Amino acid sequence: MLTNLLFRKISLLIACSFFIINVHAQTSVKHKFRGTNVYAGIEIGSKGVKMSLIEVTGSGLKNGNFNILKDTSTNTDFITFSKESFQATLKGVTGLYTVAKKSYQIPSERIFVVFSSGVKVVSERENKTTWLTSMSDSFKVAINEPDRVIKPIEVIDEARLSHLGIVPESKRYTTFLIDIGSGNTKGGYFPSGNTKNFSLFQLTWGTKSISNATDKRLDDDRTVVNFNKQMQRVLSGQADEEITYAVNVSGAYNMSDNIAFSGGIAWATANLMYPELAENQVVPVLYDDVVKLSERVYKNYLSLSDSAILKTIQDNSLDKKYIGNEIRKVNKVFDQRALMSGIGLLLKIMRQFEGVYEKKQFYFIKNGQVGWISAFVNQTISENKLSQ
Amino acid sequence: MKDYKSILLIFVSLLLLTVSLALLWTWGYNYGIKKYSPPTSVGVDSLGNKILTKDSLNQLYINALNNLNTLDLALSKADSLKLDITFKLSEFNRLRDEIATLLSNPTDIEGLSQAQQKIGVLQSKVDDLRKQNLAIQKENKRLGILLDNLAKAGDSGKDIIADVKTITDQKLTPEKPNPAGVLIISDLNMVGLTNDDINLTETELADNLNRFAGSFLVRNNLSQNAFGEVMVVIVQPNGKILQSSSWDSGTFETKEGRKIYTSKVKFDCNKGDLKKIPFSVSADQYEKGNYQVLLYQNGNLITKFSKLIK
Repeated sequence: MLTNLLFRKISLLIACSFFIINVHAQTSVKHKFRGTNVYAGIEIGSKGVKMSLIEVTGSGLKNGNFNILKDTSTNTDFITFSKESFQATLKGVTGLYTVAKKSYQIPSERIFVVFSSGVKVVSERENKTTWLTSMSDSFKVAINEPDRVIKPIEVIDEARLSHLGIVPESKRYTTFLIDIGSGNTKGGYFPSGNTKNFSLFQLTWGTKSISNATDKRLDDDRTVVNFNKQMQRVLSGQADEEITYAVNVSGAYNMSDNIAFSGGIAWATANLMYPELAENQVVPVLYDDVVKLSERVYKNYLSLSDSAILKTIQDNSLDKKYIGNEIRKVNKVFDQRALMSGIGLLLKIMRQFEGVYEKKQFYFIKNGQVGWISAFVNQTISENKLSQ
Repeated sequence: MKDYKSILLIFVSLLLLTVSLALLWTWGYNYGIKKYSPPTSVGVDSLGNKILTKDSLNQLYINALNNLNTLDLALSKADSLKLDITFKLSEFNRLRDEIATLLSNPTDIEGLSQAQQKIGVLQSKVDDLRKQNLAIQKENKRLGILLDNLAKAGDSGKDIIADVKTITDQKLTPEKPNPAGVLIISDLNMVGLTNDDINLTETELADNLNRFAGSFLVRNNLSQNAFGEVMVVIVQPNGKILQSSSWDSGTFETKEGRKIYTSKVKFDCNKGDLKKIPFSVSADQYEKGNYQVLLYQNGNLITKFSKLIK
């Protein structure tokens, strides 16, 4: 009888605790996404549509500090400019907009939609700018907002906004930011101590273009050994000339103490090199560590599997489950050859700043693609305040 | 209760019976081995015993020789004691040759017992010499560091001796030259600060804490200006490393493996200067408990400090 009563009391206590925990968890999530500082940025890019939900906290807009609440994307290949890719892109952008508005209850004035600079460049090169207008028109019909217009962002604006969004104010005028994309590389710095004057840096080489150029040279021998040999030739040829010239012309070597890299390859490399810092959005990097990783990718690729990397981590205070997931994501996005191409390009650019007498501090930014959104939000709010 | 007692008695009886049977079987087995083992010639049996004796002596002999080999270091580092050690080593070599000759004839029982005695003598001499060798090595290191410091420092004798004591203790273990030999880092300290709109005041309460402010002293005993870099590692009460910003934190290599640092502090120090180097770390929130502050230079732990936050 007594045992039965005790059992019932314990069961009731467990049920109550579970309910309280559940309610607390739900409210905390809602609070996070419904906050007045939550913004959504949707970017129609060359490869797909990306959406980032960010929470700007405290002095975040001023200092570039923000939390990424959600980061999602769909592959639509808009720049193929086919009927299918158009429909897929429209479906993607409309779907993500609806999710932001209805599921996360972000008002439409805090949802920003733009075409990436890459889309703009390709559409102009291929005389397909009307596809961008059509997409904008179809989108406003789909979401029933006649005043909504999707504008393309200029390369220099994207680079400038990324710099403002990613680099903290304390390092703003001493940091050269370089975003390595799949088809090109862009970035720059503020040379004059103000945010109006931005020095743009551009390369026509990206991780995919290095990989493609290498593939073309492989002939019948498609082994990794030959891939490495041909990749070195690509990097030592045209790419080398362009990189050396672009860095020299930029004047960044003399003006910058910090060289920060963003883009997929920076994210992948940072996670593979320093898994202990998987949760950090920015990671300080040593040139020699990247050289070592490059050799490891080529000679001992299996040592970069999630299980192999987890075995090397001795600190038990770290979240190994999270680290394992991040490494798995990296290996899913980048295979051995893609990593070799990306790291090869990274090293080629880093080498330009690795002086004998003056060492620069390198940083790898993991979520660089959402950096421009916070700056875009900041800029838009400032403009709105001025017009009022 | 009665049942329990009788079960216990039965169990003890069974245990005694099992033990008796086991003893009986062991005795029977040994007796059987002796009685029914195949016959062997007296010569082989006796030779076998001799060979066993010889093997154990050989082992003692090899051990003594191995110990002798470790004395090479004493020979090269002993300076004024070199002649004495050379003489002793030649004596050991003579003893070794005699023992080797005695052991070469396994049938000579008298020779073997002589060899056993000589090995004993050899072993005790080797032990004595090894102790002497260690003492000489330690003294050499201490004197070497003292000479280096006297040459470099222009400080008072008392300070030099104190520094040498610290360096000697640290220098005996690391493989690489200790960075403390270049710049002496000491007096690590850290406090919690709160911002009351106008001033920053010290606090030990987690709820009021805005940031940690710390400092350490650097003394440059070199004959030239120097610069250095230390990694500040703040371990929170939950065992995780405190990181104020991703831009400031990173990883570095230590002998125990790769570690995360809270912040990197760079400094310069003119020759002969004693300089206070400050550092500051802030976080979104602070846990209650003990915070451990560790300072690393070139991957070596230099000093540590702990701060309780209530």
